[in-house]
Amino acid sequence: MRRERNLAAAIASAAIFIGLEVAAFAMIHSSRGIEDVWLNRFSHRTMAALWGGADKIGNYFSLKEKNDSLMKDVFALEAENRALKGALDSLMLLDEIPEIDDGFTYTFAKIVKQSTNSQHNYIILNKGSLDGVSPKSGIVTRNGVVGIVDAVDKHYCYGITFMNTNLSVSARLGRSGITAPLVWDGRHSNGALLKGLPINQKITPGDTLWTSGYSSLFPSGIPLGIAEETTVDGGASLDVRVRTFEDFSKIEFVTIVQNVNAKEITILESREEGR
Amino acid sequence: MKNAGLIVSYTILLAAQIVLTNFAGGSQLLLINILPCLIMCLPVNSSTVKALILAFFFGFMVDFLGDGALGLSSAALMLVAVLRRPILLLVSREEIFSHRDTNPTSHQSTPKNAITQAFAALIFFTVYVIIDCAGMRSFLFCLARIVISTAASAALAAIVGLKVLPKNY
Repeated sequence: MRRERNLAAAIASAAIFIGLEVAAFAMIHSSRGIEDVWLNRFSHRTMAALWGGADKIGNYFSLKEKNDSLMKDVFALEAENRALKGALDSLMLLDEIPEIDDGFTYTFAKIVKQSTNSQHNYIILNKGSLDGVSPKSGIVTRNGVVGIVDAVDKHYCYGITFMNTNLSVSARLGRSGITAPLVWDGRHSNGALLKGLPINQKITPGDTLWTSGYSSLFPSGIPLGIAEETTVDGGASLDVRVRTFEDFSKIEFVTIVQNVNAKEITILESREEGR
Repeated sequence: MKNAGLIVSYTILLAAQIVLTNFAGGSQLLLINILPCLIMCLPVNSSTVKALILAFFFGFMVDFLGDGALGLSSAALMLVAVLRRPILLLVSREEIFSHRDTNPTSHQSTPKNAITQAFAALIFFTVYVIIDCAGMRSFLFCLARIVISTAASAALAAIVGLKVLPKNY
C-alpha cells in the first residue's frame, strides 16, 4: 500500500514538473522576442508602473544634482552652437542651409528602469502613447543606438536594449565602407561585434562605425563606436571587436526616433513577403 | 498560525531577492540568487509537489518584477525543487528526514549546509545560464558565469539558511 502511494506521488510530481517546465519554457519563448503576448504586456505595464513610481520619488531627491548637470550640458551646447554659427557665418553659409527633413520624428525620454545583468536586457522609458510613441520605434542617444521600443502604454514604453541577443543594428564601417550587422558582445556594457565580414576585408583599427540607414528604425549617420582588433570566425568570415561610444550601463536620457514613413514601408514589405 | 514564521520569512526573502535583482548591479559574470536556498530550506517533510509549485511561483515573481525573461528563473528553480530530497539525502543521509517540520539546514553542520547550498546553486545556475545564453555565447564564458555565480550565491545562501531563516517553522 505504501509502495503504491509512493509511486502515485512520484507520478504526480513528474507530471507537475513536466507541466510547469513546459509552461516556463513557453513563457521564455514568448518573452524573448518582440511579441505581443498578453502576459508580456501585463508584465511590462506592471514594471513600468512600479519602477516609474519609484523613479519619481528618486528624482525628487536628486533634483539639484540633475539640475546642475543639465546646466553644464546647456552651457556646453550653447558654446558649441555659438562656435558653429560663427564658423558658418564666416563662410557666409548661414542663409543657405536648407531645412533638414530626414523622415524621422524625435522624442526626448528619460530611462525609468534598465536591466544590464541578463543576456536579454530591457529598458523602460517615461514616454508612452500619449506622447505619440508607437511600437517598433528606435531608441538612440547622440553616441549610439540604445534599443527598440517593443510595447507602449499610456505614459511609458518598454523596449529591448542593444545589450540583448535578439537585437542587431545595421552598421557601416567608415562613412562609405562596408555594411554589416553589429551585435552586443555579451560581456561588456560598451562592447560589440561587427559580424560576418568577408575574410579578405581590410580593417583599420580606429575606424568609426555609423548606422547605415538601411533599417527603417534608425536614421543613418549615428556614430556607434570604434573598430578594434579582428578575429576570424570559423575560418569563413571576419568579426571585428568594437568599443561603443555609449556605455549602456550609464545612460540616463535617450531619444525615441520614429520613422514617419514606417507604415508605408511595412505595407510594402508585407506585400512583397506575400508574393 | 503554525506556518506564520515560514510565510513571513519567505515573503521577506522573496522581496529581498526582487530588490537584489533590480538594484544590486552585479555583472554579466556574477548573478546573485537566493531562491535555491529558499527551496532547500523548506520544511523537511514538504512534498516535491509543494516545492515545485513554490519554485514556479518564486521564479515567476522574480522574473515578473525583476530583470529576467519570464519563466527563466522558474525553469531553473523547478529542477532544484525536484532534486531537493536527493540532495538532502546525498549530503545528510536518511536521518535528516526524521526532523519533520524544521528547516533542514538547522540539522546540518556548517560545511554540510554549504555543500547543500552549493549543489542547489550549481543546478540552478547551470540551467539558468544555459537557457539565458542559449547557443549565443562561448562555453568558457558560460562556465565562468556558472562558477562565479554559484560560488557567490552559495556563500550568501549558507548565511541565509543558517542565520536568517528560523530553525523551526
